[in-house]
Amino acid sequence: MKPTSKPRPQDQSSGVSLHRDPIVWGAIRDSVPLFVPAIPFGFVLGTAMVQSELPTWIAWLSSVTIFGGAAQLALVTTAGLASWWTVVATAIVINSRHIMYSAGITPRYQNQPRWFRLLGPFFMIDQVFALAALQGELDRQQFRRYSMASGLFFFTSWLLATSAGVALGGSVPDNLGLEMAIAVMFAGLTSMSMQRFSAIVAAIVGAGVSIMLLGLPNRLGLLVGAAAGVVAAFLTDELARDGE
Amino acid sequence: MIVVVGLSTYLFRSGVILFIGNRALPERFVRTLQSVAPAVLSALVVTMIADGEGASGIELPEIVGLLIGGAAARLANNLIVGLVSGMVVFWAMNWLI
Repeated sequence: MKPTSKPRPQDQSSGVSLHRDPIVWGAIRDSVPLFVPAIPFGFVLGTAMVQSELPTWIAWLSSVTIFGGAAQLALVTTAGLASWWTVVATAIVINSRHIMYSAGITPRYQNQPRWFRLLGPFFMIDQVFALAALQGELDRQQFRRYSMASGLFFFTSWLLATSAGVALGGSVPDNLGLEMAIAVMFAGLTSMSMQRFSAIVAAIVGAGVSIMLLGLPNRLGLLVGAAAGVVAAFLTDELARDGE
Repeated sequence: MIVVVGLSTYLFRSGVILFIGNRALPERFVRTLQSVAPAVLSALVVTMIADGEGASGIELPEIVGLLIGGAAARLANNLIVGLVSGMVVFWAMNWLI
């Protein structure tokens, strides 16, 4: 084992001051490269907020209340076009994957103070989870500081990126195909979320059934297609287990 | 709407931590959860490009742009690479047709 020569903040005579805390700075250093790819996403989302059927400030507030790009984009682009419960159900279902993060990070939340158990998970987006899950060597207090620093960094940056999109959104020319850009973004999220064979089945069945049901009112085909995709994936997994 | 979705999202992120603790989730449930995102997202893409006009609202440049964009994002493991590739193909095809 290598001895650690790095001074701990407690050793410094100046006491614990946040702006020289190596854990906090480490968290921010780790977070920046993960946030850079999210900047254009936040920008596109901001422009979509301006064009949404929702009042722009309400659409923008979703960055504060929801804090999850894909679900926000789904919500602001379908609001007003589909029935409200289709909009809400779609956005909720997109974020249901966060249950896995909650399950994955639970051991690190044992024996933590109540405020952190309540507040920490709010910031547990894909990137923060990925970073926090890698911090096996930090003790309880350090883990808390790391998670909160990374979470607050992403939250603040996300508000800034979507705000910039809202501010400049009106000046994006229509003929560039913003709607197509959003669809391509979702296509990329789809392909990147396909981690196993059954997930590919889910995507293909989801799209196929939605195409067949495009005639249904209130974009209901979206939910039925998604449900069909999940059922198809479930059956695929069950069949694969039987085959083993 | 944004409050309902926000609350649900918070519950997804905090639920296991606050209510279940260290008990394991059923394996089948976790497995099925992994196919929820691709199913909803692909259905959403279809609905978006149809533009409320049924299947006739889906045009060839859109299909090709989406497939290329999706494949590029996957290969590069980078959303922005996917976005740029998909849009370039989409613009080029619209210009050619």
